[in-house]
Amino acid sequence: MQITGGASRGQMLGLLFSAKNLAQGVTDQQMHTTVTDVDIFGYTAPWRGRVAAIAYDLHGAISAGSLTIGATFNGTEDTDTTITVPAGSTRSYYRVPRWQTKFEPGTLIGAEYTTTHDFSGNSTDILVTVYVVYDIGEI
Amino acid sequence: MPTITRDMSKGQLVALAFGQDAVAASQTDVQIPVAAAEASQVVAGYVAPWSGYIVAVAASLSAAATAGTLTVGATIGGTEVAASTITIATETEKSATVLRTAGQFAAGAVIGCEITSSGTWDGTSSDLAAQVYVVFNVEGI
Repeated sequence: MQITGGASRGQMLGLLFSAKNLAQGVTDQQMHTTVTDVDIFGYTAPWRGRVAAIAYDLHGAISAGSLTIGATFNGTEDTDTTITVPAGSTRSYYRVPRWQTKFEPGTLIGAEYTTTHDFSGNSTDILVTVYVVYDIGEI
Repeated sequence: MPTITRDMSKGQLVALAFGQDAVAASQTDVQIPVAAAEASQVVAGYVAPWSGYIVAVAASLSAAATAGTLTVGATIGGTEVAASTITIATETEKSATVLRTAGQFAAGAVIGCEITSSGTWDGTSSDLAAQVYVVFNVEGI
């Protein structure tokens, strides 16, 4: 792969979110950024951009119930990014068509999860990465 | 829609994360820790493997203040890059881009983030997460 001399306008970053001991029967639970010990639930976007992918890593597989995760813009889930974690899975990803999920500068990019009441993974931790492509300008 | 070519730009954007639990009033140029470990850790910067430049600063607060101001700025070797400083009053999210000529650094520089809060700042139960966006001139790989 060739390394060219400039900087591309489209730049991809992975924004990290996590939740400890996933709860049962919660809806649209915002996840923390991985900033330790602070109650922050998103990253403010300095540029417009779009979500390119969402990925998760679970500490342990779930055996019953349902878990969905998705990226949020200003606290509202963008359903084009929502993925359902199947039983037995501990990690996976979904690549989002880049024209589907656009956001503007100043948008708070977050992640949230929803579980059913019979969800079995309530002692499980999760790391979610929301990959965004920023359209960097004005620099 | 931008074209995607099969190559890699030398300029690569990276977000460096910082945070502070319960932002106190009357802090002056306080270097805040990186957001990678236990809350008690005090490492306050990232060593740059490549030269580069600061292109944006963004901040999120867990709750809004009603009085006072908080400034957040990127630092190079502990010195604030004035062009990167953002001032927060009652907002919970704020960001600003930085012209790429204003905050250039050499390989080996320590990139940090510092805050200053006024004596009247009342967001003292609010937590702060800040990101310093840099573009590295990737080479030697």
